[in-house]
Amino acid sequence: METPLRRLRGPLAALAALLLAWVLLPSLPRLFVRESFAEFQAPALVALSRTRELVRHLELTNADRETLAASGRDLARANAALELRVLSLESLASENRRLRGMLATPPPAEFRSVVARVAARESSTWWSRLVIRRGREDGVRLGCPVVLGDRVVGRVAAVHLNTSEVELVTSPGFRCSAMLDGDERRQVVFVTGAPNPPFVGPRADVTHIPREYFPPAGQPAVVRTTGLGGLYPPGLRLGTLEPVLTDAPEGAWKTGKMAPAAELRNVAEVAVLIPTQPQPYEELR
Amino acid sequence: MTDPSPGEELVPSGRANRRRILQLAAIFAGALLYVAGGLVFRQAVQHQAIEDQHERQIRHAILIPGSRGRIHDRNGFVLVDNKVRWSVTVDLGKLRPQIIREQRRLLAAERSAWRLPEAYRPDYDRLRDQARVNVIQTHLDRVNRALSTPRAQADFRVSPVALARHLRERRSSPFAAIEDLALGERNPGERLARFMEQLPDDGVLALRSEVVRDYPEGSLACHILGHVRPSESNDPEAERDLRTMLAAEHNLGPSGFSVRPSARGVKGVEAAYNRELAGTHGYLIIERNIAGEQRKVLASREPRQGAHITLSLDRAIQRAAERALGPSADPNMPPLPGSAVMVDVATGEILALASFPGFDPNKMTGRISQEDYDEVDAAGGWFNRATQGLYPPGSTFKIVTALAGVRSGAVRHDEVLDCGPSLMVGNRAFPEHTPEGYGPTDMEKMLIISCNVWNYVVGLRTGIDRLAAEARRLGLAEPLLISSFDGRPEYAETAKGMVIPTPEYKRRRGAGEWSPGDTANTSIGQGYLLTTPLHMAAMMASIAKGRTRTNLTLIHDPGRELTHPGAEPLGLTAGQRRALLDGLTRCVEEGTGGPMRIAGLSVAAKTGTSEYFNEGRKAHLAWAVGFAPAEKPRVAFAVCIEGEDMSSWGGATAGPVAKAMLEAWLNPAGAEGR
Amino acid sequence: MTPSLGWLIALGAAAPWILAADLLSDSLAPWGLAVFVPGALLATPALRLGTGQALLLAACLGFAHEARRPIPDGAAAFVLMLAMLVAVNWRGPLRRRRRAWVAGWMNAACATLVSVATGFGQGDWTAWGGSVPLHALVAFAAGAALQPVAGAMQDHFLSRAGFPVLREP
Repeated sequence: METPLRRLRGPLAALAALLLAWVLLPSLPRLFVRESFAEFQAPALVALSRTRELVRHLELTNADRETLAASGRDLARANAALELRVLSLESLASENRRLRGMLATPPPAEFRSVVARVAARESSTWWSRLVIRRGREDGVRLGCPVVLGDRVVGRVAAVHLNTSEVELVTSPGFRCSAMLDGDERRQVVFVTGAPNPPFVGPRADVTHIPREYFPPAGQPAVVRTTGLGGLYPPGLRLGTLEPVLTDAPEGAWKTGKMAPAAELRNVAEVAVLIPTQPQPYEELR
Repeated sequence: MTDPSPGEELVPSGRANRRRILQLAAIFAGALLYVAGGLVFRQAVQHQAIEDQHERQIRHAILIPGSRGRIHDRNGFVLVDNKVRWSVTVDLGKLRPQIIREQRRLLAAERSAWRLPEAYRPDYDRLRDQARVNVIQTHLDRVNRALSTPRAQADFRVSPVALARHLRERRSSPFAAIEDLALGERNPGERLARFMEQLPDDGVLALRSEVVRDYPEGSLACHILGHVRPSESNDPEAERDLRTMLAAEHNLGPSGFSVRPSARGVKGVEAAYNRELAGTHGYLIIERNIAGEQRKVLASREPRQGAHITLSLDRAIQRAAERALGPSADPNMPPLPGSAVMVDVATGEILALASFPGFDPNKMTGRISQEDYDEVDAAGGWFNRATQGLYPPGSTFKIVTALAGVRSGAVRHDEVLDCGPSLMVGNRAFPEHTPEGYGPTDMEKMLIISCNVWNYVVGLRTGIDRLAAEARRLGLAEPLLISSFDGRPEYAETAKGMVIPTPEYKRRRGAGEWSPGDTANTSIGQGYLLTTPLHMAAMMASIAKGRTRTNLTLIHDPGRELTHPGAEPLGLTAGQRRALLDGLTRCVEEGTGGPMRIAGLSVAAKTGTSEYFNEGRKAHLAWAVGFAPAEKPRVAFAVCIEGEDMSSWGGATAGPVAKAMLEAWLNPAGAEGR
Repeated sequence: MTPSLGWLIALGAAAPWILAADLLSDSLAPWGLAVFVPGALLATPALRLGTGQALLLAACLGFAHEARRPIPDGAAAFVLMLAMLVAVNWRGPLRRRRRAWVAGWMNAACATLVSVATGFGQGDWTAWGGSVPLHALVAFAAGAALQPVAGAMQDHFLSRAGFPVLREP
């Protein structure tokens, strides 16, 4: 009698052959498969997210008038304050331009921002990603930085027609340069994402912290972008450094853990910063 | 089951049965007792030993060397510091498939380009080397692309020589394709940031950093500063003590240590003050799990940086001296090997000590490449000509002859000797350097024009014994740069073979009996006399302040009490001293020292052009020694340049170098700005 | 392969449940948990589809899963195809046992294999210890919970389209 195991032998061999063929396949057809499956699913995700927004909208329209009036008042106040800020920022910007002109320094990388709703979030140990509802058609490009206010969310890891995937700061594979608050010599340290176990707040690794650096006492040291690498504008918050620093087993520096700035796993809306000049990372991927 | 037939016992009868069971039980009980006893023994008696062994297996000490101290010049400018050097490594193992593909492509290209038959067997080693270089270069091109900004382009290339050396010597570790990522940039931040942000992590390229010694001024004062070499230990003795202490305190096995690499000074001040510069080891005692991962830190001590050292050198004067010695603007005038020293008269602190050619200590901090070493070696750059170069002092020695003559009473300082075109000593005519001779000459005039015949006469009158005694009294054969605190050498690369000839010396050399001709030769600084430019500078400093010895030092410390062992007053009358000073001053104003003339500064100096053999050919050594200001001396100097042939002259060749140092001393800001 | 659309019907019937799982992942994201379900959606079609059709379905489910995640190309697809191959060869036991359990086990096994394939290159093994079993547990629970409803839906559509339950091969 033919046992199931023996029956399986032929098909298993076929599957193994198929796997080998797949591995040897050039990357283009594999990319094609990946892209087409992603595009196929995108509309469903967008629809899902729109439905959720609709539900939220209905929820809001049913709110009582007192609440609406109160929030309207708050908004007006916030607006007035922000208008003042904008005015002072404009004068600062023109002053800055004038000084740069005098010193003949090139202008920093300039960005145009695209606001995007988050369609889906997913965090496991090996990745932390967002799907946002902006894609190639909106000008989003691979590797673009993604922020939330003055806080870094991550960078674009995959671009589809109308959606993109954003790799969060804590996701393995993310890396960028940073500076630490309280470091007078303003030395460059590195932030790299790492696998994060469930139920523990996500953390990124901070490496190459100079040995003579000690976090400012009594307050968390903020980790900020340097603006040197051309990816992020300078001074954005990446997160806060946890006070325990360990001595790296090799080399003359310390390593630490960083808690991300944005509530990364709950974020609902982000801004994609699209550089006006093409950056090397777009072609080096 | 069938019944067993009678008489056949399958199972032993009751009694036998019980006996066997008892036997078996006894055996088992014994075995059990043995095991239990063993367990108890191990628990109770060997408990400590087992725990110890366990601890030894999981405990580990990491020794962290302290960073080396800085070296400053006397004004606080940093001459030696530490910096982090970033390199980019390539994991060759991960590139194997790419290299094989590239090799096939190269082979195919070669075949088609030359229409070679299929059977053609090329040199596979060459193809593989080429393939390796090509593949690594494609990765470096990505790095270049990522690092380049409109302002600064990066262009890192694979060095096939470095790759070949890597494959030969350290195959298993990743290859440092870019040895210094921040090459040429003082602030590496931008390059690092761009590497991290513009280049995706592909697992092939990795950033690595190490702390290396940094010589921000490049080859400036390279012979004095020396250089470091990677080393297992920067201070072996201190490390051994620490190991013993930690092993006893934390129960560590001999294999439970790892030491982070450090660097040890191998030349110059880096070597002489290695102990002070090296700093104190820190350590981490950690516990590891079975996988070798760090579990917790049991004890730690931060490493402490070594002491900073302030040298007596003055960066501005040092720079001026090296510039004057080094290549000139005229490409037809290749620079000559030579050295220059300037010392502070009051303290004996060395303000500048330059020797050309030199080397760039930055290139020597890592693993020195053979090419770099050979290049420096071929030029003679390892040799410190100021401290190790033994030369006949030539006419500059005439100061010593004059001193010996007037002090011994063989000649009065104002005594006028009739100096013809030559002097017959024995049956040999010792010449003047002008065919017509100088006529009536006293000591002052002799110093101005450097008259030979005056010296022959005075030398012969004084005698070799008193001449040699005077030279010895002035320390021309004494070891220099010995710390006056602890008798330790401040600098190890000094000459040992200075010669002040005596009849006894000549006999010992097997050159026969001393003759008056030898004395005449010695009196003008030729013959067997050998000393170093540093000795001449020390002598001029001593004469400047009317003493016999100046204990030179490389360390600047205004607070210390200075001693000059063996120093005594020079022993000149006021008139003798006046004549000496006037002679030396007028030597610059109207005599051979003309090239050292500086407006507003009275320089007292003596030039010298001695003969020596340069690679078998007779050539001139150009000397200039002196001090300034003449009336109230503050600095003394000596310059010695090795001429290629007979076309170099003391005043013309060595004079400008001395002048450059004096100008830098007068106006440091001007010298720095240039 | 037969030019039949059975795999497409099964895939269509699976799609809403995959979206539902995405929704669940979205709300579990703050805790760093992702729900894996494709493995559970293989159990019912394995009984009604021929081997070729079943493998096609598994490949599509796998490619769809990995298209939106940084999983190595083809890892999820081949893991699901392997699971499907095993399932169609044990149709007898599959039909006799409680299908919710079987689906749970299949899903957990697939989730674990995909996790290992994804985490393989990522070095840091310390994060693995808790994560792999926990994700397998979540996958088991999700698979077992999903099977009764998702399986019934797939069953319904396939039987309406004329795909009978196959005897053991």
